[in-house]
Amino acid sequence: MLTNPAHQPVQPPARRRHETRDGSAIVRPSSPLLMAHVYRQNPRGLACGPLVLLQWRRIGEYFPESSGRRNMTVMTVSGRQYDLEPRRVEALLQGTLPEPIHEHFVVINSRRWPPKQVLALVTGLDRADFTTHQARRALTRLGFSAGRAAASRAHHPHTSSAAAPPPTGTSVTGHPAMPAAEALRPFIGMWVAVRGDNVLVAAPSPAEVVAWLAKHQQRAQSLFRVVDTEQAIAGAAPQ
Amino acid sequence: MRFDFRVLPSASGGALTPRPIVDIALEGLDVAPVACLLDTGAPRTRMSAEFAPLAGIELTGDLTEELYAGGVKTVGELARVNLTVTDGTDEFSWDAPVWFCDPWPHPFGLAGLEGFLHHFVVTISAYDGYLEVAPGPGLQDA
Repeated sequence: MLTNPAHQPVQPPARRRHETRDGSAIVRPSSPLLMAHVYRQNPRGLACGPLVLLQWRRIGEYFPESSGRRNMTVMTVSGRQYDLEPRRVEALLQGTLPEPIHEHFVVINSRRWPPKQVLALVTGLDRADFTTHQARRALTRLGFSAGRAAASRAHHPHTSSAAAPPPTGTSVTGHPAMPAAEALRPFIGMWVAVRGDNVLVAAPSPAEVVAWLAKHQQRAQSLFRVVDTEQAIAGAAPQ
Repeated sequence: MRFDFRVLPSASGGALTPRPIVDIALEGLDVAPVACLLDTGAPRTRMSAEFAPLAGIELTGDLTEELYAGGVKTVGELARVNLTVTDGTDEFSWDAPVWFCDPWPHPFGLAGLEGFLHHFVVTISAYDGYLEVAPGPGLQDA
């Protein structure tokens, strides 16, 4: 008779063998993997192959599914420890406009953010307390993708393309291309200022966009509202 | 100078039909040229009234008109302003009447006959997805 290993009490990892009623043994892995293949052994000690996937943690590491701690990452920034959670980071950025991207960025809430701006916001630390690379590393540990702005990639051709930024290129007119439709999709309904294939800023009103451009001394190529229906461009029939 | 047709996302996925858009900078708001749909059927050039205060343009209410644009009833107010188009290399500026409309729920301004097309020779290549703008006789003399 097979014994369901999932019903076995959780044991410290030092104890590797567990006898079942029929004399067979379950061999557990010594590493503290969350999921491990479990092999059933017959009395002669021959493994019969994978039996079942067993959820296996060290006792001290167990967190119930509902505890909400599973996605939390403890990290040290500027000598202080922070419990950071991706959803909390996303929530903290709501209502804030990303600052101009100089080189590095992380993608959060479908928008590009300077890593230092994000880490300063979520930790309350001064930006002088950590480097861009530390901020980028901390945020990628939380699962956010990171990348380099197209303009800087021209000078650093061997950088990561993990962030999936909008495609860059030159248009048929020989000038920097406008953002592709997919790059504009996160900003549907918003006013955007674009330059080349980059969305500099997106906000609910043109006044906010212009204020951002003035504050950060940026110059856009075009200002418009992103719509996603033909009717929104052409308008409805005259009344 | 050439402008690529503007591509926008479609609600059902993919992209909407690319549109001929010209970015026109208002004097006082040159950090953010306003995207204007090229409209050969529009007699005037129109923009949202929201842009007037951002550009420091005072709307006096001396000359207004009621109209329907895209099925929306709106009130346009006239102001003469200096406009600029540039592709980053060439740049043209001209003085033109612009009607600032409130409400203006549309995503773009409208570059119409008066205010824009009267000043340029425009070539549209919809197949290749771009439009070419060259100064008309008025701008060449200027």
